[in-house]
Parts: sequence; structure tokens; C-alpha cells
Amino acid sequence: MPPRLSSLSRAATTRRTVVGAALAGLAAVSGCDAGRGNDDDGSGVSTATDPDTALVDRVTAEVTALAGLVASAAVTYPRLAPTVRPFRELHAAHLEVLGAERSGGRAGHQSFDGAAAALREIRLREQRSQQRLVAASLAARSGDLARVLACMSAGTAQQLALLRPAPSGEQAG
Amino acid sequence: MTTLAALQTTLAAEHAAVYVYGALGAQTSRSATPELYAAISAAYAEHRARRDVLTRTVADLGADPASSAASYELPARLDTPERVTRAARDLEEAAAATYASLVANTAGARRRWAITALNDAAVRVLAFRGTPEMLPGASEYADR
Repeated sequence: MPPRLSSLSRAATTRRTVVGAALAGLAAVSGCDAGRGNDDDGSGVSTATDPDTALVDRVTAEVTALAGLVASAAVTYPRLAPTVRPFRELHAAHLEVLGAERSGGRAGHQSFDGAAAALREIRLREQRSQQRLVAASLAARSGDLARVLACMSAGTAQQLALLRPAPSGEQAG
Repeated sequence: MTTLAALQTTLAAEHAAVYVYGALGAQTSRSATPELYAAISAAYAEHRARRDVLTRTVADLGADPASSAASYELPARLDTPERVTRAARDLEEAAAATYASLVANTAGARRRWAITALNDAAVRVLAFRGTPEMLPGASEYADR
């Protein structure tokens, strides 16, 4: 079973501790000693959990908010749903990897000025998210976390490359 | 893995990619399949450029850059555009995994460069009819 960065199911253990342990486990799964990521400065995974846990929390919050936006667009404009479904699946998978609940994104109270505008907003927010994932990867002390965040940014880049304009004839409701 | 070892591993992979892309280009017709030819040519140029950057980076660290092999094993059959496309897709998926590993073993500007290369490889997979993944370059999550 693929690893998670954290596992909320282990109730007896704090999330911070679990993130560190899971990060250490990722090195074995990825098939290389990719724990350091600090250009040979000698630092290791186990000593770098605190800032990385905060980073994971921040990325989780950002992906959750974005999932809500996309879900809201799909609810408001049902004919957009097929177009944005890949992003909803992407967010759900990324949240699962981050150790958050795989909810698929709950629709928030977003308002859009038409389907085309909603899709433009999604594209813009996804582009920003992709850039923030790159920044988060750069900020990660753990090389394994940096790798996962960079791969998340690559997944977002793929979906942005495939995103097409909104189908015509959208109506609210 | 040290940063230097990761850079050498990536350089070795780029030597192979340049070689294989050269073979793929030779099997691709500019007139019959212009889009594929353009995509192969662009990828070849990109991998050559990355190989050269890696060579300079390794040398700057005071090491001898990994040299290319005399030849590399090519895919068994490259006699149709579909097979050439599949081989190119496999190359880019492998490149994404290689650069993801480089991300894990670098920091700062080198990590940024590796992330850019990872993203480029992931998007180029699509040009060769690949399907998007949740985490390109991280095969342990491939079933998501």
C-alpha cells in the first residue's frame, strides 16, 4: 500500500510524530536514500519534522480550500462538472497523500460570474497552487517531502495543460 | 544518496535519453508525421540542454562528470509512429522519476532546477499520448 505523509488513524500518536515517521518510511519506498535534501549538509529526516509538519499543514489547508472552490463551481454549473472532475480527483488524492480526509472537496459559498468566469478562476487558482507547491517543495527540509510536493506540482501542471475552455451554454443552478 | 551522486545518476540518465531520442528522431518522418517529429525534436533539444547543465554542475563540484556509454539498448521495435511515441512516453516518465529523486537529494537552486525539469517531463508525457497522474515521478502512488 502506498505510503502517506501522515496517518490520522493512529490516534495514540500525534500527527507531528507520524509525519516524521512516515517521511522516514518514504525513503525506503522510493528506492533511494533521499532523506536529506540539503546538499550534503548532513541533516537527517528525523531532526526536521517540526517545520515540515507546519508545511504539510499549510499545504493541506490550501489544497482543501481549492477543492472547495472547484466543488462549488461544479455544483453551480453542473455542465462544468466533467471539465473540473480531474482536478477534484487530483485534490482528493493529494489530500490523502498528505494525510487528510479524502472528502473530494465540499462545495463552499463561492459566487461566480458565469461558467466561463468560474473556469478562469479555477485555472488561475490552480496555477497559483502549482507555484505554491513548488515553493513548498523548495522550503521542505526533508528531501522526501520535497519530492512528494514537487510531484504534486507536476500533477497539477499536467491537469492545467489539459484544461480546456468551458463548454458553451452554461446556466447557473 | 549524496547530491553529487544524485546529479551523476541524473546525468547518466540524460546521456541515455539523448541517445535514445536521437534514434527516435531517425525513425520519425518530418513530412509524414510532422507533429511527432516536432515533439521528438523539441524533447531531444531539451534533454541535450539538461545534459549539458548537469555536466557543468558536476564539474563545478570538482568531480568528473559521468560519461556516456558507447551505445544504449533501444526499444525492440521502432517501426511505427505509435511505437516511437510509446518509447518517447516511457523516456519522459523515467525522466520524471529521475528528476523527482534529484529533488529529494538537492536544495536551493539545484532543487528548483530539478522541479522545473520534473514538471517539464510530466507535461511532455502528455505530448506523447500519456495519461495524467496524481503524482508524476512518484511510482509508489501510481494507483491513485
